[in-house]
Amino acid sequence: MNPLIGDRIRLSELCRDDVDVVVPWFHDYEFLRLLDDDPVRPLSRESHERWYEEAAKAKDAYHFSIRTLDGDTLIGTCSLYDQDRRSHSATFGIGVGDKAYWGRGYGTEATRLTLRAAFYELNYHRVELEVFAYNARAIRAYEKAGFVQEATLREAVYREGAYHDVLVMGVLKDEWVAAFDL
Amino acid sequence: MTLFQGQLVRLTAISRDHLPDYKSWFRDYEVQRFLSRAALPVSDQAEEAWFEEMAKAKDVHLFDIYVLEDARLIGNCSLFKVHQRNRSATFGIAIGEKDCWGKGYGTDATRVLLRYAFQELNLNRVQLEVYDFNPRGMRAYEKAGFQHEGTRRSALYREGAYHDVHMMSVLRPGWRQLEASGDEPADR
Repeated sequence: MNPLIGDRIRLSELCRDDVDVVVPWFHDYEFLRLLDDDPVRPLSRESHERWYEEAAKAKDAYHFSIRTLDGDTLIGTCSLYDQDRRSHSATFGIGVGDKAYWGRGYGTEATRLTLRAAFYELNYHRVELEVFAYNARAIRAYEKAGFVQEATLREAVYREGAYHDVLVMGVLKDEWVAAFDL
Repeated sequence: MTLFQGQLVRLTAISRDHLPDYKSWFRDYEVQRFLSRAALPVSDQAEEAWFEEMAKAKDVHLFDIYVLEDARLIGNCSLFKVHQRNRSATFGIAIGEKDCWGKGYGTDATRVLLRYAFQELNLNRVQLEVYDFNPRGMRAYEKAGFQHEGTRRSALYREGAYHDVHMMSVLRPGWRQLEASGDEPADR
């Protein structure tokens, strides 16, 4: 059984053609303000093409496209990056760009599949992430997938004219295997 | 009575002339094990490259720490990952002369660097990471105004085991209050 195939989605490779679907996401303010702490601004098609070329070469990161099993629609991307060889850990990031799939458990499922890869295939000891405190939907999804809130970095990001807290969440292999073993 | 002078120590520019000191500190396992890079021997070339990088870096503010009393060079402290938009930075310190541990020099240097961070760099947040086997460090940071924000569990592998990494920070308003209240002696 392919561990990267879930009930409704699968994690696939990045494809150059994905850029056509991805570019409009990065013109969507609602998406960008939740994604990362880069300044919220529209990104050119060329910058995405460059990112895809870089991502394909990256030695310390794994990037996936999130596709529906029904219709093979590209709905988002997720990654394991900032691998630390010594501590056997990595950082998780996800963006579901197709808003039709928000709030329906697709992000949770993609997170679970990525953790399965992280622990069963890549043998990580720990996976962590950072999430903005104002992104309640994502926090709930991460908790459902097994992440535990570990720290609150006060006023760590500036956005929309104010400082916001950033949460650090982590999940350890042992506890994940105990709770979510296949 | 300058920005870079505390009660016990003062901070000055780093210098290529001090490379022998830097090398001896950062090759000492007892010092290394509290720092984030792998606790392994470091070549002359790597130490020199580190210095050149630090001397050039735009987003790193690295200083030598001198004891006021005897003008002795005892360690380094720095603000790095300075982030313009979030107005935040990460703090790091190493007292390389081990006979100077536990004398309040680290706490004093931390206070001086925080004053620089808030009053000169106009930062809003300074954060740091400290390992669970370094309670002396944690106590010094608390005295200087840092608050515990949480713990990244099992995030560091060292000496054959996973260790927790504590996250601490101080925000500008909290730091101002501390200075004004005089709970801890002000530096000026």
